Amino acid sequence: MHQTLNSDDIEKVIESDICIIGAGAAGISMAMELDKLGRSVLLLESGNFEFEQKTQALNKGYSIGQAYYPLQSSRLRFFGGTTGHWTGQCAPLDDIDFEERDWVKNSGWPIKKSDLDPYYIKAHEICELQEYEYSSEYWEAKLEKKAIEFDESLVRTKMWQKSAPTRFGTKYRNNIIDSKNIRLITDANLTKINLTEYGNQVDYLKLSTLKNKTHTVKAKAFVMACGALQNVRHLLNSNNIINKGVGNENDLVGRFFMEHPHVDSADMVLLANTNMNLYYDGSLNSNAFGMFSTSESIQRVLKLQNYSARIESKDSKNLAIDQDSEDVTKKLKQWENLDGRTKKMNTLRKVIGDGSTDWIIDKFVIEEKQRLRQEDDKLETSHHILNTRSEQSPNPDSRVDLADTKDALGIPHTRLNWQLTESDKSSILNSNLILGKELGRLGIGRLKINDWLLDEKIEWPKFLGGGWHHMGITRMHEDPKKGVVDKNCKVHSINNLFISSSSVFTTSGVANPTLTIVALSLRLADYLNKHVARIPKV
Amino acid sequence: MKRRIFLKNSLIATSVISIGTLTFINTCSDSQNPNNRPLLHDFLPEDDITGIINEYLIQNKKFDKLNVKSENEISIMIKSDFIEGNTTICNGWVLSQTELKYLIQKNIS
Repeated sequence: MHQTLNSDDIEKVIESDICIIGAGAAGISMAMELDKLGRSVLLLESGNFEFEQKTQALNKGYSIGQAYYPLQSSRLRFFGGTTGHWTGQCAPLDDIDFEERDWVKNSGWPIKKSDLDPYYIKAHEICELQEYEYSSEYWEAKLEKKAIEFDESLVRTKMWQKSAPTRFGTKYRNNIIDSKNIRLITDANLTKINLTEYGNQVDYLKLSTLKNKTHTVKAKAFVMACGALQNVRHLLNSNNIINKGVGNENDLVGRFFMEHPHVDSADMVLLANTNMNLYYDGSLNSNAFGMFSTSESIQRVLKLQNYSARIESKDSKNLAIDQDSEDVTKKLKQWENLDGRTKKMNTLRKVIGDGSTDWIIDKFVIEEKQRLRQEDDKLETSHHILNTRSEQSPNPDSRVDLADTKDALGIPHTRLNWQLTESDKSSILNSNLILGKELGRLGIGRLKINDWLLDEKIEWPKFLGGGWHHMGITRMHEDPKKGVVDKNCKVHSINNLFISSSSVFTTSGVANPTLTIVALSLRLADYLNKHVARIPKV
Repeated sequence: MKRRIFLKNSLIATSVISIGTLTFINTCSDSQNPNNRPLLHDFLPEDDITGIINEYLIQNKKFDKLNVKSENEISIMIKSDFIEGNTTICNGWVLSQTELKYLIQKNIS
């Protein structure tokens, strides 16, 4: 069933067993799972079914640390959430990501990978992926492609799968609306979490539309699935009983912000006969693709954080710049006069993406450029940029808190202070060195590490990319002095408040978080189904 | 007579085949490396080679020549370097110590 909070038909005090705040990947997955288990669910969504600028503007925030993307655009605020613009790249976290590692301070989830495996399998179905298989051997056989024969005690081919990508808002809209157990209310903005006077239970939620029509929600259990930044924002803002904010007695809410720094860290030259067809090629056309990663054993031996890297063709990336060069322009004109090539020249096309202009060049032109660059009596090679996506170590000084300015609903804006550490940088450098040595050992190419990584005086490039992956800021730990939620994603100090989001991640790994978000939400649904009756009434 | 011609032709044929085979073997030995491992100068662009050499010469006042007989031998040593971690970074490039020395030797001698 669907209603909008703008409607006059909605009761002033809305009551439910389980209330989920946020209809993105986590909220929708949980709602559908609880529906299957016969539970009634109230699902609240700030936006509605279509993107609206006024609602999206509520996500505005500021960044004061390492330069970051505009917070307003990094998450989508309408039904389906950020699955409205994700690329669909999926992988589970690795076993080592869950372990307490003495070289990664604040590491160690209170659960193991094996606790999540049954839920990863179900998450695969929801994200429209293939079987829950991530070994390179499996995909080599299935796709009839070959992995590079790395020494697997050093470097491995880590596999990702590619979702359609599943747009949860489109794909599961009817599942939600047509369900008798799910009551979806859109245009419902959370403005306050009100605790009981003892501060150990959520008494009710305050909701508001953009036109300031207000309602109250009472439920046995509340699940925050608003996305990491918004979860923290609401917890910190709801400070009328506990002045540090809900669940923040130990000053942990908002701390340990982690992203996956995406950064060009090396150039790679490969001999042209190196078979790279199993690896990411930028097109995301394959159901599965590999990236380079370090083995768990070498991570232990050399005390490295987890690491992954993919290559991007240097030829296509720099072509816009090269096309301005006189030499290439002259040669392009020569090509036009050649028989059979004029048609191929007409396939040059311009694509606008992310506000910038990228030239996508027919394979022929890339090959021609390589040929022109190719020197006489040298072997043919391909040139690539190595873009690493690495694990960020949990750092309490990397944090999200509240700004002094407020949004249209009177809620303080989010303020992000993304901070990285020396170990984050040295881990990338040492992992690149291992990869470089393996390329040399195999005789397939060489790696040239970028200057910024070798220069101790440079911390990081001015702008680091990321995956828009916001993790760790209501982290999971059994000790309330080290985590905001326990192993069941329950906020430690609050009997009936749970969090379903990448904000509960204790460490970040290298995998895109969506698959793990869905798996955790299904696990939480399972837990609530078994335990919601035991939650004390307010 | 026929036997003499046969023997003469056989001798010529054997010589030709032997020369061809020996040439092939020598070609393999001298210019092909085990497992077809090309050396740096076989594939790295000249600009990058120049960059490596310049960086090396700035950082090193002395240069000890490699005492090797063939590129075959070089190639085996390079592979061994990468396995044993006998590597270095020069101008950002992750290289085997041997291949770096050989590159310098080849270009400045």
